[in-house]
Amino acid sequence: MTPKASSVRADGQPDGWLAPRSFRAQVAPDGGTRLVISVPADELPVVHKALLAALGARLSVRYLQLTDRAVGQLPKPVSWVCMDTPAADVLRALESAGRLVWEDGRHQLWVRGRPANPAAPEVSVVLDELGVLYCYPDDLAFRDALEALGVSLGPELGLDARDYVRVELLNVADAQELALIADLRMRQVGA
Amino acid sequence: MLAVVIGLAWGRGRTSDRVTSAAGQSPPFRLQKVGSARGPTAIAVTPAGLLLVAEQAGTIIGIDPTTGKSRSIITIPSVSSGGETGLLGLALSPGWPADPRVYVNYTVRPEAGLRTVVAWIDAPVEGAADPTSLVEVLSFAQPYSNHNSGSLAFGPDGSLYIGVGDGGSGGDPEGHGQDTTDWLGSILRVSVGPGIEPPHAYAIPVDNPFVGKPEFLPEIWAYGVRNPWGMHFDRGGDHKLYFADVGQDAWEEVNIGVAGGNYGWNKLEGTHGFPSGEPGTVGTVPPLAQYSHQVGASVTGGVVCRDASLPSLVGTYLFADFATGVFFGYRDGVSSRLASTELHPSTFADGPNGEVYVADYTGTIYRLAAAP
Repeated sequence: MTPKASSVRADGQPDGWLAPRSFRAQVAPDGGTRLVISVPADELPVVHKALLAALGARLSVRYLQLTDRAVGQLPKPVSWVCMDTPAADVLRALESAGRLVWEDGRHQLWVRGRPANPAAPEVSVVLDELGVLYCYPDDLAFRDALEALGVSLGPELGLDARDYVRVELLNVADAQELALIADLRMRQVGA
Repeated sequence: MLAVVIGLAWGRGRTSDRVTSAAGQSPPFRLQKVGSARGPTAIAVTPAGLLLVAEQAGTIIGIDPTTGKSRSIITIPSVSSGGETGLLGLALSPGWPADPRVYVNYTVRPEAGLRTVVAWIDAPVEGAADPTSLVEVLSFAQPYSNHNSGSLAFGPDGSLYIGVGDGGSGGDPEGHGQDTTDWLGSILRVSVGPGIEPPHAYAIPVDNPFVGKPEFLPEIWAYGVRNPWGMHFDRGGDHKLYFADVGQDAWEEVNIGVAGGNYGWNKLEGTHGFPSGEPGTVGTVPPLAQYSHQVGASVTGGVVCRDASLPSLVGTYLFADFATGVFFGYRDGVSSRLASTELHPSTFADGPNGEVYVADYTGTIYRLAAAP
């Protein structure tokens, strides 16, 4: 399995660093709480899907395109969204576009849900372009899902803390990107 | 396959201790670092000035604010920590150290689900605190993992006041704020300490406001709160109870404690109807002050400043917003924005001479010192 990104030296050559299997609790930039999760690349799909399962039955998805493989990094990210979509449909679409979602570093994927009553605060899981996962807020449901998969609270820093990373962009993901947007009937926003 | 190399320079520095005020005004205080702690949630100060700091994961550490030296005092067994759970409250017995009990408020997660426990433990500080000395005062189930409050404070009457959140989720879906047949969404008042020994864990003060009223549990002293975070009795003035109540969607509030008071949640958020946002009148006790979510997102209750080295702040109730780091002051009916910081203020405390301490959740304990 190709990692979305890997740690490298300043000259772009691999530095041998391996992603730990752990999570950290942080205060998010907006003052809320979050978990920052690092897992080896081959465990990313399982862990990501387990966290998404904690979001409830209906999900909102934002696909944030950061890079166009043909032209490079976009001057401004492009957002595609779908709202209030059955979780099963979202998971099915993510599976179909698995190489894009879990092996390609051109995008971030923001998924929001509401696991309890309609007035409950929204919770979300963000998969960034490096393969680092963020859960908002720091909640026991997320911690339980992680612990069940052997991902434990720990001090180890993930790829988000490395000085240089190499992000992978896959040919095969081009078509999967179009398919994901179509499958989830996503609309471009903020263009 | 195309590989892209991106150079990253993520900021890894600690939170700045910079304090700023509105243009043209000098900050009313500066932040003087006195120690460090991991996820500090509560501070109690001994008569000698030693800071006892509760770390969310379950450890109490002692910090000498004059040297910055710290040491672990005790780790509470079985604490379940994460999110809004963990070791959340700490209060010294009023008779400490002759009565060496330290009261703690924390969450546990047995098979049956999340519970809050209020307990005491012998912690003479100079000796080795013994985890096996822990005695449970009371405990109750938490239906959701958030809004566990945890605030503890001893009043000048010697009673222990316990802040209890509404049980969590969002909007108080089970209506605990206005339900006085359970403890959730209330401030409890109980008698503890010497003379009340197991099997009796606490006694109900005879002057509790709802004693003898069948529609109320007798431990309830006030109700209609969502997530009281930070309770403090003014060590000067008329020794009133001040507490903050974290809001839901739009308003954060601070309050004066009133026996028998209904603070309105979940019919009111601040002075506004919930969820309508229209002006409301359900609560019998309006907030002392409120601010909107345009200014912050989660209020942290503070202390009434009685530190003579901060003359411009003496008599001012200081509080802050956890999310934005804004510090506020309330005095003589006026609430004002005092300063902006980069802190995530999680708890305040005051020392024997009124000195004011504030914890930044990301790991630093500060004293508010006179601005240069």
